[in-house]
Amino acid sequence: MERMSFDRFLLTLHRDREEAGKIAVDIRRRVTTFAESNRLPDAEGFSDKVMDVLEREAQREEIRSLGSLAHAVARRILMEAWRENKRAPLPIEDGFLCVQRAGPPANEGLQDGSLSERRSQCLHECLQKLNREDRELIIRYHQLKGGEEKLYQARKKLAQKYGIRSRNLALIIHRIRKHKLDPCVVDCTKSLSAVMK
Amino acid sequence: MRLAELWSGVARRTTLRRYLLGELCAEERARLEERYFKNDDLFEEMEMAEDELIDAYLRGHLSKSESRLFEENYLSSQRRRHKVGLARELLEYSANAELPAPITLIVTRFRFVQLAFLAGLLSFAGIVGWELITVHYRRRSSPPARSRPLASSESHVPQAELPAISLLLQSSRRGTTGSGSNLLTIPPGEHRIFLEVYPQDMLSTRFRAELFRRGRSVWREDVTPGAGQQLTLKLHSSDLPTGTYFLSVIGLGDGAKPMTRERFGLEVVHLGSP
Repeated sequence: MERMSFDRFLLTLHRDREEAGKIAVDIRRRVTTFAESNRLPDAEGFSDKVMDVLEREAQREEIRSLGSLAHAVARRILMEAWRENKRAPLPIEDGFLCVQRAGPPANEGLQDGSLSERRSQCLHECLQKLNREDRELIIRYHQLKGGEEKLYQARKKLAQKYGIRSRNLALIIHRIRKHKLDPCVVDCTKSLSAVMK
Repeated sequence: MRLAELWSGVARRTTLRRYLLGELCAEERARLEERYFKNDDLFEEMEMAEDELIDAYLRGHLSKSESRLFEENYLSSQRRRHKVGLARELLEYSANAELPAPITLIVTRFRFVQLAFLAGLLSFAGIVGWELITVHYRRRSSPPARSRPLASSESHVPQAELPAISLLLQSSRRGTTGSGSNLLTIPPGEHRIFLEVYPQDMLSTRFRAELFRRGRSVWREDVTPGAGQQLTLKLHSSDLPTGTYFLSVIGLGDGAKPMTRERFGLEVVHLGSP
């Protein structure tokens, strides 16, 4: 997206740029989930396309419900992709909607030695950047062990120590990861990869 | 928590998990997608279900068929593979990490409870103090105070003769206090105020709109949406003294049971007032 145009788009989402950025990131996350769940091989490319259309729509008229519009646009682009795929069928491995029955190996990208090392290094750094309470909580939560039932009880006990319900504990853990830990690790891994190149 | 709520929560999480594993039929999938694009809470629940699914996979808690679906369907993108990789690193890191004795948790909690109590006490004292001051001021400077703010239909001046001010309210994001996101400036004198709202809930045929100021309800009305699901709230300028408000809009479906809730922040400023 062009910078100026993107700035205008943000302004239509919220008058505060930071808030608008959060809204845009949040809606993009939904589009990506949509693409991944519909087995599109290039979920990020699909998300770019949808965000481009939303940006153009925002120039034309006021967006009243961003969620509804984003869903409608995502559906439309998905349908177009289906139609295009029918008209010009590609080999199944390369098709836009190829069903990857064979699938990528479960460990692809997970056990790539150097990537794993970088991620581990970044995770360590990012955990140190968290405040003490968040860091302790996230480590304690992930330290718990056992089978399903034992783990459930252990998490419940941990939540009780904090005076909250186990569902709320899971929510807090999720938010620490989503808003603090994961973005930090992604940025760190990218910059480490850039340095290594 | 009621059994029905508990059950619906469990059923929802099962549906979300099946969606992530690619087990839902096309119709169910489309319905869920439409909902999570519109509903922040549902999408967050989906992301939590994703974390739980990854955790269960890495700990070997998924059944054989679920593990197969996870590998064939879930691990379909680079982003998801990275997410699983990171979760694995986190489990490994945590297993080897050393932390202070668990007693620190209790200390933390104790401190938190103390602080929360103190903050609550101070807020309460502040609110009571402020109320006493404003009541005293109103008694001295105004005609006898009304027991509650006038609804627009009860204004002294015929409504049609008053100038009108309209404001389209933008929704507040979850987690904010709702303040400052919409600004309403009211010139001196009496005015009709039309607050326009477009709730994301496209299904409800009735809504309950309620304005809160400093955590207290100051105005409430049940409204029926117009074309395009627009809600127009008709107020009078005296209903809205200068201050920070938030508007709660509850979708009632087609009955009286609350179905959805949205918040709209509102900052009101009366021009020319001290």
